[in-house]
Amino acid sequence: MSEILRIFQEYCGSGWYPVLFLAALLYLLVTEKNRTIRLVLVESSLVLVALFFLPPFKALMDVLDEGTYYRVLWLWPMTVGIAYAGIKCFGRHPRTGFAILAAALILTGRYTYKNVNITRAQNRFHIPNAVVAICNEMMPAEDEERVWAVFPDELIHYVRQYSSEIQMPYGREMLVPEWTWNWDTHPIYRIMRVQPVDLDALAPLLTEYNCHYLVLNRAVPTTGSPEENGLVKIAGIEAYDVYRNESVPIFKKQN
Amino acid sequence: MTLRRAFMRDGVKTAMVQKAFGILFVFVLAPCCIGPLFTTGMERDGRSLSRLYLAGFLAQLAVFQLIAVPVMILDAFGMDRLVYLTNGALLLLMAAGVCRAACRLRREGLSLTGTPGRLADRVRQIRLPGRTCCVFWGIALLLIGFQMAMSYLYASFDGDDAYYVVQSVLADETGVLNRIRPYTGLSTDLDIRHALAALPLWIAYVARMTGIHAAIVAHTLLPLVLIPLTYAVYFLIGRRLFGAGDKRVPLFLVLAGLMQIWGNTSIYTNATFFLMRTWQGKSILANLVLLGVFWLLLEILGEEKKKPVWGFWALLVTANVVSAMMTSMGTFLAALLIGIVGLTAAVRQKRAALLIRLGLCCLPNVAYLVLLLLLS
Repeated sequence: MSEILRIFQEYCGSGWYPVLFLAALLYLLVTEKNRTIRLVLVESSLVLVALFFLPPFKALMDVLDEGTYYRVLWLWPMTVGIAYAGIKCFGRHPRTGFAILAAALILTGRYTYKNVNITRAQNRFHIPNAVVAICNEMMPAEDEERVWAVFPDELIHYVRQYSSEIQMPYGREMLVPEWTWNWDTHPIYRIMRVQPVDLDALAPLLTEYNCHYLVLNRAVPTTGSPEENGLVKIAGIEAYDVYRNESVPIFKKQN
Repeated sequence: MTLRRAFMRDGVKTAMVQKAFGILFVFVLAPCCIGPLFTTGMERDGRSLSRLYLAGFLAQLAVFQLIAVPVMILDAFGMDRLVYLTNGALLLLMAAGVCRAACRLRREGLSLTGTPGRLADRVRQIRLPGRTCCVFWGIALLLIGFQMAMSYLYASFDGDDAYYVVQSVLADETGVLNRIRPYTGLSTDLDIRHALAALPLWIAYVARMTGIHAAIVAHTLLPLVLIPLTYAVYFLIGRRLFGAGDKRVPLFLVLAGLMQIWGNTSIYTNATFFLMRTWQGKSILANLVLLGVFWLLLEILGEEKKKPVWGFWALLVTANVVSAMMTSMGTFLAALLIGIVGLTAAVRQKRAALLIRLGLCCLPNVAYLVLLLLLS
């Protein structure tokens, strides 16, 4: 039960909409006369609320898909319930009611567009311009095979959303500590995640894994000389340097 | 050679024509022409473009899911085949929908207003909403427009895109269906748990049809369709709750809009998914499909007992197929919602037959769950 309460609290976060919804249900339970609305919106929702807090139901859902129990809360018609009950409550005074309801919803919620993960789009891909420019720099020609490249952590998510022509020895699976089956298992990543980045240790691995390119964030310190390790700088794009590993040839496509 | 490259060969002009035609076909013609197949008998409270478009859009997705799953299992390089088969099926359904609509209009004396009579008379009978109602409509449309503009102008980072959007890019660019590891590019076996939810392939299909990069389709184009469509479902629910033409419907939409814009109280809420991960299956399930199922349940349970409107039932089956397309858990969640409402109706109103019929509508969900268990 404590686990279910934790999931509920995490779902609510800093807001009160689920609590407002439960209050709306109680209000509608007393006042709603329409048989259909009462059945679908009120009584069924109360069953869903009860079901969510039942430990055996959580056990069943965990068998089907562990770690996603919060999605049962998506079945609660919160938006519909709160809006409908609010409008019914202030039925004869729509303007005053609207002002009160709007204030309540704004004060008990959190503005989505203030989220740190939302930033001004730099292009229609909604991918950083730096990624687009770096990928274009290393894009193989029509008659060439796909290339392999190692990117710093902050760019890894975006690269293959832009082009499937650029492959990576490891990807997002290396960045999520909760995914213990994958995290921190790739030898190149073990070097890339430590500062300063040891180029003397990294370069042989790049060749071993057939990586044609290396991208480094200029702000991240390195040890060892790129040139002495066969890495030739081919471009500097925004905060990043792009190196070509000359030990690995780019192959032509065989028709 | 892929379809896309063939089209791109003739230069920018062809690409622009392809974009315009692709968007027109996928997002306008197909939904609007297929919609009439479902809307028969739904017009008790007048015709509704929202209902027609929603029905057509869901049917289009369901058709794609029904074609995509077998093609994906049988043919690893089946993207071209998937595009041809989907277009063929959509064209057939569109022709059937247009014929049906034409027959009905002819039967009703070419009236566009739902009942026989002259159009001019009908126009004269239209009552304009009051001032307060107009203000609320204005605010509702502003809020919806604001969310659409923000979805275009602002980018939202989500780690799951490194899987789902890349699957779309891979299918579009390589023609390979779910056999390449999105994170790296290495070959792999079919990951059936993710693969049965074919939304990333549908995004690739839209990319092929329009010639637009799959990441742009997902991040920029789809929100401009899905956000207003979701509010269209809220509009339909509002009409059902308050009555068609009721002045409280726009107020309902305004409050729904505020709850989305200020709903980012945690990473789990449907509002967070709606505005920050609009293009992902989980978001479409939580905000469009389950909401649509909720509206359909309101309509179905509000029917007269002896006059079931088959369009609502057909649309419920369609929505269930679409729920499978969004995420593997989607089938279970949609069936759970329908089951709970059906059980409550059976107990409270002694309508056991309704429960059986609702159970039959969930057969696609059962089929997908069995398929998931057998193949995974």
